[in-house]
Amino acid sequence: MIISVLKKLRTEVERIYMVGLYHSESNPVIMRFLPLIEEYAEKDPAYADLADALKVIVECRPSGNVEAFSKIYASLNYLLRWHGQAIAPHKERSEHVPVFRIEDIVTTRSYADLKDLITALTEPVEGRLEMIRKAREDGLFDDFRIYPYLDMALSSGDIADEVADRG
Amino acid sequence: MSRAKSSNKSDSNHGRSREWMLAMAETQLDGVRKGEEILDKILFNGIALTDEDAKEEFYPGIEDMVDNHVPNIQRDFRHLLLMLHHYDNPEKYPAIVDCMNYLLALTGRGKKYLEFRIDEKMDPDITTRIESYLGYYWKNQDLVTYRLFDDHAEIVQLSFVCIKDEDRRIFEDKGYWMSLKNGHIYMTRRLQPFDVAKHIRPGNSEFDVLQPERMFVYPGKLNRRIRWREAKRRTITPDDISAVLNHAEHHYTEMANAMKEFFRDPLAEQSPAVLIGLHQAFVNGDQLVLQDEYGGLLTVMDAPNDRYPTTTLFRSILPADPKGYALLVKVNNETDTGLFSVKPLSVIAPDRIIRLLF
Repeated sequence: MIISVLKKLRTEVERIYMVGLYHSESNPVIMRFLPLIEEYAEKDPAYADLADALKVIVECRPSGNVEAFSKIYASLNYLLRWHGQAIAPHKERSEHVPVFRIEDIVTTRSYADLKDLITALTEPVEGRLEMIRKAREDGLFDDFRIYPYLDMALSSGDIADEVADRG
Repeated sequence: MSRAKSSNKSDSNHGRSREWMLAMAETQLDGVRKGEEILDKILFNGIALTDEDAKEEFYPGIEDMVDNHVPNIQRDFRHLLLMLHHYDNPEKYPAIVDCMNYLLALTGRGKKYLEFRIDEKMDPDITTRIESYLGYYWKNQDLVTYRLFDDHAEIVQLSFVCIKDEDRRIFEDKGYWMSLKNGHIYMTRRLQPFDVAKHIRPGNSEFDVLQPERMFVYPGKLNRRIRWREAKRRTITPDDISAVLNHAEHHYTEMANAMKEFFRDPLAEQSPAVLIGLHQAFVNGDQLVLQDEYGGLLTVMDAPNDRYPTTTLFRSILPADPKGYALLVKVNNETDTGLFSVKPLSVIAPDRIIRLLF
């Protein structure tokens, strides 16, 4: 439950960034959750920092609010990450089955070898089809790291046919 | 703060007296306060109402920081100003919010740090990256003074990537390296503005073991930045791969808890890389999960909108029984999924390194 409260507070604080501090005066979302945050403050100083800073911004002072917002960001970031779970709950578990034999995978081509091909597959650069043709001649499509970018290219209409024909 | 208080104010610090360093800290504090004023005004009016007139008002303050020895803060505020041109485009709001959050963390921590440092007449903090974030340029001589170097290092690059940042108009080369001696994972990082990138030799993957004549190590905790002038090289051997595998962490829960505590500092590296030993794997819903020998679990996934996805590649090659392998991962910096998850970067097989990036 506390994670959902922290996320709602973060959304509200980011909304205040957008619409201005005027909307923080006795803000109903913050006022609603402040007692719960104060309750947690007894367990962890990060909640105490958060509660103190939230109290400052609901006063809507004309200036001097940066420190409070800085503390709110630091506390929410830390607490939300602290509560991050190892796995998604209530999901069905199944066996992991690889597609390729890892023994067959070789990644000895460098970034410099592959970057032009990746650029050609993912960006509308001049001469991209020629770059793709050359990469095919050089055997770069044998490198399995190209597959995600090839997938992107096949999903984009402008060069999909060319890649499908030649790639 | 863990820095020792100076016992002798007149100590010479590599040609710069401590008085000079503290005077510079005062100037830096003025620069941070200028930034704080700008943020204060933006927060009061709201980003959506920060129109062209308001930005005109902020511009002189940001340019004025040039005398405050905070080049990185100035650069980050210039970036914010650029982002604010999109004040009426809701699609850009998440990026603007990220930028605001970073600057709030930087000014908040930076001000506290500089005030403490000035009051207590402290040396620069060499346990965190705060000085680098403020914009202090660590010269080799500085790093030697604080004994931040290693003359006998042997390092292996485990992963390399070049990230194209359209908003900042820079290419960022980032490499993760392991020291064969101590197992620490270090980082090389180089920023190149789009305008000059074509005139500079691009970074690249490195497959040999490097032996820097002197490896300089920047202040910090995890994934400390390194650089060197010259290095010998030799071909990587099976013994080197064994050394890398031996440095893997095998207790996922302990690793995750240490990382989570590390994030208490809002300026700590938010996506640190770590090498973990592999034991078992299964699929939970549609997500791959790793399990260590103590029952600890770890979800493997790409962060939303990751431009360099690797998880599908990893899943396609991860053996059903992965014992004896290790995986270099980067902790995902996101909180929307409610998961503490990692992105795979490279698989360390018993006989070679399989790079999922470059």
